Amino acid sequence: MPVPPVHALVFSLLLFAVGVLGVLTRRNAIIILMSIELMMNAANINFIAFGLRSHDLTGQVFAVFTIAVAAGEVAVGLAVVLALFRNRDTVYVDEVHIMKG
Amino acid sequence: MTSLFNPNDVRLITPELVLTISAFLILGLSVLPDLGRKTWAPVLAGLACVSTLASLLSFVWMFGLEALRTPDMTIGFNGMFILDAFSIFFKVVFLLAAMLTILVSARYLEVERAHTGEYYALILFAVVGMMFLASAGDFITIFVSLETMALSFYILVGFLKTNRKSNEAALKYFLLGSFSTGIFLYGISLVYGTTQTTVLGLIGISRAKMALQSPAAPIFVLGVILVTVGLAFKIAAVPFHMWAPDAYEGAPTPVTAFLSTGSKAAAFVVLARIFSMGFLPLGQRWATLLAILAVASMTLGNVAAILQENIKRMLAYSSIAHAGYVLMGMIAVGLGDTVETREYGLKAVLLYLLVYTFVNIGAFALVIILRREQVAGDRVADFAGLSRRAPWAAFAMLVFMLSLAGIPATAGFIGKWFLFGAVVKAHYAWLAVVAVINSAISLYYYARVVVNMYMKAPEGAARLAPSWGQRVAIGACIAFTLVFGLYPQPIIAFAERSILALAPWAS
Repeated sequence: MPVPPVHALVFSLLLFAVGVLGVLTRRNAIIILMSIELMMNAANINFIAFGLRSHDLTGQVFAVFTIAVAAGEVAVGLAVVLALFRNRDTVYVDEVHIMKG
Repeated sequence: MTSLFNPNDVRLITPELVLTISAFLILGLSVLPDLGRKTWAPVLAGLACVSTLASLLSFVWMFGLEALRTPDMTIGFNGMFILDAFSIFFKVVFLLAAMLTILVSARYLEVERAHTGEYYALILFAVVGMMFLASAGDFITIFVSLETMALSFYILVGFLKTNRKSNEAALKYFLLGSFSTGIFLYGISLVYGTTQTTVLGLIGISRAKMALQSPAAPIFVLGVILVTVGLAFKIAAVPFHMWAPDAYEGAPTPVTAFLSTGSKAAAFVVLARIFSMGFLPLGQRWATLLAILAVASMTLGNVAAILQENIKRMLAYSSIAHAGYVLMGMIAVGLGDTVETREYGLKAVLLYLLVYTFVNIGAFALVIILRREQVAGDRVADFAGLSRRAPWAAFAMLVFMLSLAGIPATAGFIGKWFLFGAVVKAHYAWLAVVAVINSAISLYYYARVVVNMYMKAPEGAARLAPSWGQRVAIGACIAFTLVFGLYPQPIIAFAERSILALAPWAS
């Protein structure tokens, strides 16, 4: 028996909320990056669940695109964090504040 | 049943293909040992932009602008790609912005010791993303091309690898940018769930109304709000602007110029496309949402700009305020009770983004030529006495500041005129009053730069040495600002012919 879309929606909302909370409360750039991935995966769950309900393949296609884009984003993100770490010896976002105002 | 792939559609993306291939070519050539890279990379990138522009204009010549206005014959890939006059207008804006950026980049990057081919490849990749964005007719295309653009910009902002400010700017821009992408994507997934399609045209025609009447209406509305928030991050509207001042200040200045014009215009294309094709039946609701964003952006942007000592930061806040002005045009699209009012609002948005591109890149070009060995040149105080050290540069900056403030006889005035007119037509006159008060506030900090240039003694006697590329770019920006400030008919006509054909159900 397939999972009802409402269950999937509630699950994805929770996952999304965990992601948003992670971004807003964590200080470690790597963990923030992981939280952003959670948000994107919450959207993926929606795409697949909704696509299944309406017998439409678009949802799954979208999810595949999202996964590919998320991979690219992680690559760029880790490069940015690495460049920062080499110069400043920190990955904590609250220690990075030369610019203010 | 349409076939999944029609080989004929490929001709619609010729301009983008030309640009993508050139970008890969530059990327490939730049790993070879240095064969005089400093000269060929910008030249090749410039040529790529010119040939893309040519292939774009050949479409206009083939179909005629009228046929492109109602784009039945130019929709490809099952509605995912729309080559209409609207998209062509913005593609021209992006290419012009890229060309100006390439012209001002070379000398700056040499001073920063970061002159490599990859930089130009990344600029071109960002333009490819923007161009697909302008033509996107489906949420999948929108998402993928938005990310193509954003990923290129994350790298460009952090391009000065050994510069701490650049690292910090890249980190902040990346984290907040991808956070907004996550929100945007989740919004899309909710809209998809309630309308069962990702094609913008299909959502707009009937499904948005159906979704509103179904029990799932709150989910649909939440989806629309999340999509709006995601885009508000990209255009840097208050309260989603936190990344902008830091990213603009820390990024290499040519990148800042491109980011503040190209990427902002690209985000507005998506905004216009999604809201006027997909969510138009909800016009009243999202217009109220945008009005809040517009008032907050104008007010906070202008007030915070007054306090800035760093000119890049000041221009960042000014660009936040300008996003607020442009949002007014979109509000008229959502609220207008006739198709004419809606189209007037759209025309104002197009016109303003075109003008803003030239004026803002011009202003940043002046900041770029103040950057020399051992001189950062990005404080407002660095402009002191510029009229005596370099009269022409001071005159150029004067023109750009007046145009940003919206003084008559400059192109900036024409742009603002139409935007303010649009909200008045949509019976939102109070918003125009807020905008006029804000323009008066903005005059203060733009005038401060002018006072520094003309009424203060210079700090050093060092002469400026702009490269010919920088001279050409600044000259083009001044010419655009003054010529179209006094004789605006051509650009008004160009914008008028390029607005989206709003469907009759719009009213």
